[in-house]
Amino acid sequence: MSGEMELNDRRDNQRFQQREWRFQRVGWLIMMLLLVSAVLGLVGPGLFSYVTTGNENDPVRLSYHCFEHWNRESVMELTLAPAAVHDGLVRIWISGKLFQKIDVKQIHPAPTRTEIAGDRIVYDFAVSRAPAPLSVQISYEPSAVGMTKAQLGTGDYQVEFWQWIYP
Amino acid sequence: MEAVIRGLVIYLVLYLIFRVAGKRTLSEMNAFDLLLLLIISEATQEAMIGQDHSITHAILLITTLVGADIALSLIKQKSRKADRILDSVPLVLVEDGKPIREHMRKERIDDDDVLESARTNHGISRMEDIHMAILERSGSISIIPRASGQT
Repeated sequence: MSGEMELNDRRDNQRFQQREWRFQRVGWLIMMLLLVSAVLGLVGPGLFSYVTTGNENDPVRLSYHCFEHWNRESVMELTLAPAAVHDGLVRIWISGKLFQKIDVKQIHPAPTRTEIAGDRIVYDFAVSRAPAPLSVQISYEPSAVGMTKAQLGTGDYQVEFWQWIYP
Repeated sequence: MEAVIRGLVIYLVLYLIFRVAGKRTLSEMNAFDLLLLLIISEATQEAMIGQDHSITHAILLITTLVGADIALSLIKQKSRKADRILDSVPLVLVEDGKPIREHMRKERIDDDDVLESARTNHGISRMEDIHMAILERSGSISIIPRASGQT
């Protein structure tokens, strides 16, 4: 009787083992896909995650990683065409809801003036000479997980962008 | 709450990854396996601690991890099915001196691994002297020698 039970146990184990091997193979495939996705930039900064909005003639273009990790310091870059300069000043606005999702660490160059205008934050940058193009870098850390959608622009020109933050 | 969530998520992810890696990954460690373990512990440390370096956070994290371990052990005790899913099952690698190649291939084990265990634990140097070799759930290989006179 105990021999028969041992045989049944062994058969049960054998069936379970076959299923476990299939599970492991699927798991390996998922792990490999995850690593490939990471390299491509689908689960954070990678080969194809750094995007630039608009085209060269636009007054302002935004370059940033569209997939980021929560609390990981990153940089987004605003490229401004000379046409954005008025009276030695460049005025950029960013929608306030972006600041609910990120902590800004530094803006380089530092704005000469910062102002709240309704649901926007407006930054003024002094420009003594206007080579083409101008660049403003914003160092930040995402502070909320999930999808972030926001706008920024200069004057009436607006750029809409999105970013997915992984936990 | 964050300590509990971080601890649980990391614990469950590590558990899943090691289950997917297979029994052999958990077995006695060589230098490369020890190195892997050290690197994994470093990689998970920051994810679990985050920005909170307080004693309270550490206590909550440790309690979460040990609590998860206790919970899993209770589940395994109550349910044989859960026990098999969580900890796998023993697997026969060699029977009556003959290696079961399919099992060994799927578990990435070769004759040298079996013979090493046989030599270490029983002083056996030939496959023919092994009645049964079993890959245990822990990843170690148990050897049952042939009784003397058995062919």
